[in-house]
Parts: sequence; C-alpha cells; structure tokens
Amino acid sequence: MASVLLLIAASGLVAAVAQVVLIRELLVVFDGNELMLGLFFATWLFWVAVGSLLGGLVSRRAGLRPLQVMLAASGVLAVCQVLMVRTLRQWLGFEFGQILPAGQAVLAASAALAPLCLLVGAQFAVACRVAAPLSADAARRVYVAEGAGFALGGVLAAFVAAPHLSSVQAAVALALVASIASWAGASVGGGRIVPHWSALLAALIAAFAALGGPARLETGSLRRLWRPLSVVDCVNSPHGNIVAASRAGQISFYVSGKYVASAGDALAAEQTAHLCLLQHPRPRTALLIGGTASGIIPHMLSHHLRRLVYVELDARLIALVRRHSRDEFTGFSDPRVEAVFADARQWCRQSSQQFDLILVSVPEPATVLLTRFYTLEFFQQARRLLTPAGVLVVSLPAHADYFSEEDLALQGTVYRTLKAVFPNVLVTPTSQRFFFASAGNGISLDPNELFHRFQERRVAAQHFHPYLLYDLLPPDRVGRVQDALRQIRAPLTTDFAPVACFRAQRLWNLAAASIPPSAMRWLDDHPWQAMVGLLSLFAVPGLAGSARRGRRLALLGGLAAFGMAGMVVEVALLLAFQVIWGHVYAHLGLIVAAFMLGMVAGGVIPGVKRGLVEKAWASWAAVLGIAAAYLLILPHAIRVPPTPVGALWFYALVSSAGLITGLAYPVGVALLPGETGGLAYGADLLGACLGALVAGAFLLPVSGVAQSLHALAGLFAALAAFWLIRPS
Amino acid sequence: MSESRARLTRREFMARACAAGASVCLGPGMSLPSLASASGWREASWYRRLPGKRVHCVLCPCNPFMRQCGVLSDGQTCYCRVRTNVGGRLYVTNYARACTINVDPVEKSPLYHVLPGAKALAIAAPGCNLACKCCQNWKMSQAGVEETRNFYAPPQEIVRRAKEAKCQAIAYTYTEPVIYYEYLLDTARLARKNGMRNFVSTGGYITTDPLAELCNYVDAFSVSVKGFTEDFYLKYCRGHLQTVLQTLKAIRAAGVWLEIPVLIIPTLSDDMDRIRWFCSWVRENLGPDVPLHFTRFTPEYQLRDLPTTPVQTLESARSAAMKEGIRFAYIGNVPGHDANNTFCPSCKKLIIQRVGFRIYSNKAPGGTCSYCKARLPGIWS
Repeated sequence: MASVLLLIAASGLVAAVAQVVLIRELLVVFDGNELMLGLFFATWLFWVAVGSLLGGLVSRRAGLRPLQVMLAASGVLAVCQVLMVRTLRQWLGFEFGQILPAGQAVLAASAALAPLCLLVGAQFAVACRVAAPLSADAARRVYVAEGAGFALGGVLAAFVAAPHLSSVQAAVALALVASIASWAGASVGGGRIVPHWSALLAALIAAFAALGGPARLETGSLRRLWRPLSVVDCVNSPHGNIVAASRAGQISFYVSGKYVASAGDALAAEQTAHLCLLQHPRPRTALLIGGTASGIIPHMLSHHLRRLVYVELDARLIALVRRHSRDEFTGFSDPRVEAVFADARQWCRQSSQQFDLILVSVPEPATVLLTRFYTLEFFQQARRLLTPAGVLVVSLPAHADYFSEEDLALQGTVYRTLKAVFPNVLVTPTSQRFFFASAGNGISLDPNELFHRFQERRVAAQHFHPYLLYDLLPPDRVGRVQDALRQIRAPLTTDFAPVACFRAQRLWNLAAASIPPSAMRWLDDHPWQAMVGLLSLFAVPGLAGSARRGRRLALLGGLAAFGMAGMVVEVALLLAFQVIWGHVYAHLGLIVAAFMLGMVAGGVIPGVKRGLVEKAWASWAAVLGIAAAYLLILPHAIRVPPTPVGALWFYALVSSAGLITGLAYPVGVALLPGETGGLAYGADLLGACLGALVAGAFLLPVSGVAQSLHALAGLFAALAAFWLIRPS
Repeated sequence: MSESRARLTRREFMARACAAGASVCLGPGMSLPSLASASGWREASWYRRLPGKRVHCVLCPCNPFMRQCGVLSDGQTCYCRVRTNVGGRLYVTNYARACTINVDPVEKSPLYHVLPGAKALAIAAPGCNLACKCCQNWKMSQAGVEETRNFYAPPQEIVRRAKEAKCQAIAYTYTEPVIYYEYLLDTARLARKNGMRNFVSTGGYITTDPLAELCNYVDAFSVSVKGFTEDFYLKYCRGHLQTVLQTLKAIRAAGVWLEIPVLIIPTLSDDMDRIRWFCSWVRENLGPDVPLHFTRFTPEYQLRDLPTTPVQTLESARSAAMKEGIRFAYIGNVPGHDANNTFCPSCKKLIIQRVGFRIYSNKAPGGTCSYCKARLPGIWS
C-alpha cells in the first residue's frame, strides 16, 4: 500500500508542476485571456478525466509495475510536450504573430496535453484498482495521497519552477523526480533498495542534465518558437515569460508571448504622453501604472513634471528593458523618477501621496487580473490619490471611425463606471480610446485649448506636433463618441462583478472568429438564463430517479457538481485574493496548498470513515448541505480586511473549500456499488472541466461572485433536500 | 435626415431579411425578387444568370480559396458577405447601408497629390472581398450588414451631407468599395452632377469591365498593396497579387490618378529585394510619377503580436524606391517624419509640408513649384 501511495503522490506532484509549465507555454503560443486560460484548464481536466475513465476500464488486472512505468513515462512526456508546444504554430501552419481561433487552440492544446493527461488520469484509476484489495477505503487513501502530492507540486511550481527554472529545465527536473519516485516505489515495498530499470532512467536523465542538455534544448526550441525573430534575451519571472527578440535591428519585448513594445520606438507612447498630460492645466506630479517599457516616461517628463512615480509589477521586465534600451528612451535614470515594483492596486490602497495625473497604461481587461484597473473600487482609490483638479486616464483599444456592438458594450461599462466616481468624463475618438476622468473642470477635448496649453508649456517634442491634435480630436467625432457613450445602458464593473472582462473577451472573440459573436452577446444579455442552463446540467442527473441506475447517475451528477463548484470557488477565491491583497502570484502556491491540504483533511476525518459504513446516505446529504451553506456565506465571508487576521481567515476559507471537496469524494465513492474510484474521479473532473471553462471567462465576470455562488448554493441545497427526502 | 432616424436597426434588418427568406417557404405564388427589394436590397449589376437558379458574380475575380465565391446557388451568399442569390438573381445587401460617415482630409486616404488640404466626406458600407489578417478596419470589413451598426444613407443623402459639410469630394474608403459597387457608382454619378469629385481607396480586387465603368466616375484611386508575393496574398489576404497588379495597370491606362499605399509588415513583407522588385515594376508599368506610400504596420486584427515596423525599415524602403526611379515616395503612419512631405523632384526643395493629415505649408499652389515652377503630377484644382 505504501508503494501505491508513494507512486500516486509523485504522480500528483508531476501533474501539478507539468500543468503550470505547459499552460504557461501554451499562453506564449496562444492568447492569454480568461477564455483561453479556461479552455486550457478545461482541456487538461477533460483529458485527465478521460484517462481516469479509461484507466478504470482497462486496469482489471493491474499491478504495481504499470504504475511505475506510467509515472516514469509521464516525467519523460512532460519534456516532450514542452518541446511539442513550442512547435505547435508550425504544425498548424500559423505564422508568428498571428492569433489563433479558440477552436484550433483547443485542438492544439489537446494534442499537446492529452498524452500526459491521459497518463495522469489513468494512474489514479490504476492506483485505486491496485490498492482496492489492500484496504477497505483504498479510493479515499489514494485520493488523499494524490491531493497531498498535488499540493506539494503546486508549492514547488509557484516558488521554484515558475520563477527560477526555464520550462525545459522544469520538465527535465520532473522527469528526474518521476523516475526516482518510480524506483523508490519499487524499493519501498520490500524495505530495501532494489536494482530497477527506473534507476537507470534516472541516471540517464541526471547525466543529460549534467552535460547541459536542458540548456541546449531550451535554446533550440526557443529559436524555433520565435522564428523569424531572433531571441536575444529570455527570462522567467513569477508573472510570466519575458523575451527580447530582434528583427532588422529593432529589439521588441514580449511578455508571455504578447507584444509589449519595441526599444527606441516611442511614437505611440509620445502621442499618449502629450495627449494625457495636456488634460491637466498645470501638472506637477504623475503616477504611471504599467507601460513603462514603451518609452513613455521621457515624454511625460517633458511637461516639466517635478516627480513621476511608476509602478510596475515585474522588476525583471524592467531589468530586461534596461539591458536592451538606451537611457534616453526609458527615462529610468532621471532623478525625478521614482520606481516602485509592486502590485499597483495594493500600492494605491496603501499610498497617501497626491498626483495631478494618474495614467493607467495596462492592456485591455482581458483577464480578471487586468480588469482590476477598470473597476469602481479602483476608480474610487484613484480619486483619493488625485489632487482636486487631478485627472485619471484609462484607455481601451477601439476604432477611430466606427463603433461595433462589442466596442460599445466594453466602452459603455467603463464609461458608466467612471461616471459613477467622477463628475467629468471625456473620451477621445482615437483608435486607442482615452477616458479622461476628473473631479475638476480642467479636462478638455478642444484642440484649440490643448494646442494653447502645449505651446504655453514649451514642450520639447520629438515626433509630436500640436497640429496633430486637430487630426486626433475633430469636434464632430468627439461629439459623436460622447453622445454614443452617454446614451448607452451598461452595468458597472466592480471588483466582484468584473463584467468588463467578459466584454473584452467578446471583442477578442470578434477578431479571433472563435465563437459566434451573437452567442457571446446572448450570454452577456441573459446571464440568468445561462446560469440556469449550466446548473441544469448537474441538477438533472443529480435529481435522477429512485431506480438503482438512476441513483448511480444522481451520485455521479452530484460528484460532477462538486467538481464544478470546486473550480468556481477556487477562481472566486483567487479573484478575491487579488482584490484584497493585490497580485496572486506569490501566494498562488500557498492558496493551492491550503486548498489541497483542506481536501486531504476532509479525506482523513475519522468520523467520515465510520460514516461511510454506517450512515452513507445521510453523510452524502450532509456533505451536500454543508456545501450549500458554505457557498451561501462565502461571498460575504471573503470580504475581509487586508490584515494578518484577515489573511488567516481567508486561508481558513480556502481550506474549508478543500475540506468539503475532500469530504464529498470518499462519501460519494462509498455509495457507488462496485466502484473503485476511477469513474467517480472522472465525473468529478468532468464537472471541474466545465467549471474551469465558465468560471473566469463568463460566470464570475457577468453574474458576479455573489450571485454565482448563491446560485450554486441553491443547486446544492436542492440536491441535499432530494437525498434527505428520498433516502435509500 | 437625422442619424438616429435613418439608422436601420438589426431588428428591422432581420425582419426584412426574414421577409425575403420566408418567400422561399411560401411557394411559387410569391415574387422573391420583389421581397428582396422590399428588404432594401438592390439587384447587383455585374453577374450572369445560370441554369438552376444559380448566378455567377463577375464583379471580383473568382476567389479559388473561398468555397462560396463566383457561382452561387439559390440562397447562397458570397464570401464578401453582402451579395446573395435570391431566386436566381444576385442582390446586394449593403446598398445605402453606411457603417460610417465622416469628414476626413483627403490626405487620410492617402492621396497626397490630390487637392491638398481638401475635405472629403468619407463613407463605407460593410464587407470585403479579401480577408487580410492585418486589416485596420476589420470590424467593418470582415462583417456583414447584420453584424455591423449601419445607417440608411442613400446617394442623395450622402451628397446632401457632403455639400452641407462643404466637402469637395466623396471618399469611398475604410472597407472595400468594390463590394458596395452599385452604391458607390450611384453616389459617384450624383456627386459628379453636383460638382464634387470621387476618390476610391481599395484593395484593387476587381475584374476589368466593372473597373472600366468605375473609372468613368472616379477621379483618383488609392490602391493598397499589402505584400509583394503571391504566397503572401494567398496566406494573409486570401487573394492574388497578380489581380491587384492588373488593376493598377488598368487604372493607369484609363488615365485616372493613382497613388499606392504599401504596407510594410515586419517578418512578412519587409524583404528589401521584394520591395525593390515592386518599385521597379511600378516604374516600368505605371511610370515614375505614381506616388508610393510606405506605411508603418501597427499590431492589428489577427496579427497582434508582430512588432511595429521599424522606422529605419520604412526609410530603407523609401530610399530603395527613389533609387529605382520613383519620384514621389512617402512614409506613412509616422507623424512628423520628414518623408510625409512633398519635395519638388526638380529643385529638391520642400514644397508641401504635412503634419499628420493636415497641410502645414503649401509652396506648390495649383501643382506648380513656387521655387522652380516645375509642374507636379496629380489633381490640384
């Protein structure tokens, strides 16, 4: 039994680290918005579920040896699949720089993830089958061991692999760990170290690493991934993969595969700087959030600022930009410039400084992390930091001459949210829409007025001429944009209902031609109907008839509901953490570990073991009821202050979510006659797969955290009532 | 007519389209073409009727990369999204459906040798017969009438607005004017009657006869070239370079003023040998007086992760063009660059200085250099 538990724990660890490494690689190849992220996680969970179901079917006479082989193979596969992801674009016939539709991304992600995921899923089913004769509650123990391995893997991925290792290095390390664990699995049973093929494999991998193989693989595969650009620098940070690549003497910077800026090319940045700085009649201090790599700082300073504070999340990005750009381009060395490397939301909350201008230069709100800079709460924070005539600037990509439905929806929600905080909001009719918000009366889109301010300040511009203001701000277009946005009815974007995130994805979808735009529009307009449809998928089988087969279906439906709810709760907790404490990266490992430890605790509660035998049906109903109660109170409980006590409370909530999930699985399995664990695990994962797909991309942004969790609470309450009313 | 009243809502459009579609179900007693007309659609001018209620659209060269192009069965819509076969007749669904109407300087088209500083009423209707992955106007061009926000603006309305805004011309731009050919032609005829000029910005994907008819009413063309190889056009535009080159020759042969914006995309169309080849092709086939505008690429639509074009690359392209004998080579999309200005090919002095799309100073009134009295090619009055 110890061998099985060791092997499955190692499998959990491999799965956790490989998941982080591979999805990070996929985000470099494909777009990293919430929809794609959800699709990648869903693809991962789907194939693990299929692996588990298939493993349960084919492992009738499984022994320890297949487990050892699968574990060692999964380590080697992790290396192969990292290399495969880096060649996906060529395989699909897409050139560098081109966005791929979601459908093709899923197919490509399936091809890249399926082999490893199938193995991971099958290992669980095989482990349950091997352990079944050895223990009365084998499935529970295997579940707990895998969870513990996954928790450890999550911590290692967050604190070691992501910030310090390249993807190939991390995958090779995994291959080494997997082969050593496979060897240890063979040795633990007999209590002595035995010669084994996996030991030879481990030795080979170690030798490969010692001879510099991973570095060569990394360089070769990166060159292939970035062709026709030449990679001149590549670093990993906790926030993503950062690359400097050159073409025709120009060095361009990329973060997680997304183009950020090119060294020495500050044309757009200069225009932005002047257009924004001119909004304040006499700016002296400015806060810049993001966008420093674009070379905007010198042009902001040219308006005679006395002090400029810039806040960047990733110090490694700035270090890389510094290495490859001249000082005159970056402006980092100017004595008036103060650098802060922190999460800007967190910094804004704590800061008591006052600014004449706050320029938010972050990409469009395509993820919940980025949407934090477009919410009501952030705008309120920004207003607190502004002087009475201070100006807040946010921007969105648009079209200078046309408003699509999707543009209107996104710009409408940002405009209305700004209007809820600032009495004066003006929007430019430019291809990058600038939203100027102020409590004072200084902002203006009158080109004559701005021309006058520019001349008065004697700004030393490089490529900007004040005449351009007449091209950028023709009065008829200015009026048309304000009219269109004033008339639109749109919900406010808040921290816990970041609707702008979904609307930015609608815009991305329009370009990527992935999902029919009308379908996305329907989801946006009918969130409740969509929610009812989603919950019905679980409620219908979950409330299936009283016949034996119906009850089996009902249990599997219930387990799938737990999987889905677990994923939604996890995303909601991550969102809450970001809102309360800022970026989540440094704590991601701890949050995952807290969740998994809660799950392990749920699985090992002694009372549960007894309950499985004596009052299984009542236990199942009770677990459903506890889940309903938890989901009901969670939206209120997560609004904690950013204090140490608040953090303790938050981690307790995370562990509680894991604990309830951990309680549900063994109880559910105990009620399934003849089930060793693979089928139940598959149902759980399929639910989680759907949860991953909808949670961050649609459910939480459009319906909001409170409404989504309350709706889920309703589902669990109905399921609990069903089991209480109709016991076996 | 106010914009809000003139705008055709999606609901209205769908109702009209459904009315046309429903006739198929209602049987032979109903006249399909009359229902299509009732929905505001206009019968296309360039197509052939084929047996079995099929039609062959001959406006654009048949696109072999698209399934629905050229010959359309009953009920089928061409891949340009705006030409539909209804009962064996080809209808245009975007006639008088403008998705944008703006007053723009002609320099925006870009036309640098046409009435410098003049205002034009720029209009567009949705749809396109190419599928360029670098399109800047993709929200209008890569969508049909039902997917865009449109205004009902018949030719009379366009001309009225142009007069009201004191525009000297109407510019058919943003999307592909070829696919709103009938709308363009009717408006152009009316504009000409009212003493206005017509400028067309196009990708040049059109067959010979419709182009010849168009040339009778158009004063200047701006035909954008997006790459220099068949492979590029096939992969990134779903079209043929050869067709575009033929269009350029036909326009020049018809004696209509022509300027060529050339998009330089890093990694895809920045090869200097190909740029040199194209410049020499222009000189030999169109003459050295056709202005070339080397335009800077910015990440857009489906090519969002390519870097912007280095200004140095544009400068090299311009210099290559000058060496090949092109007399007017500009750099576009780089405000403030010296190569936005016009220099006299004779005395080499700066004669028209531009800031963005505005004329900052003009030392060539009427197209004559104030310094050396050399005549500049173009439309100047």
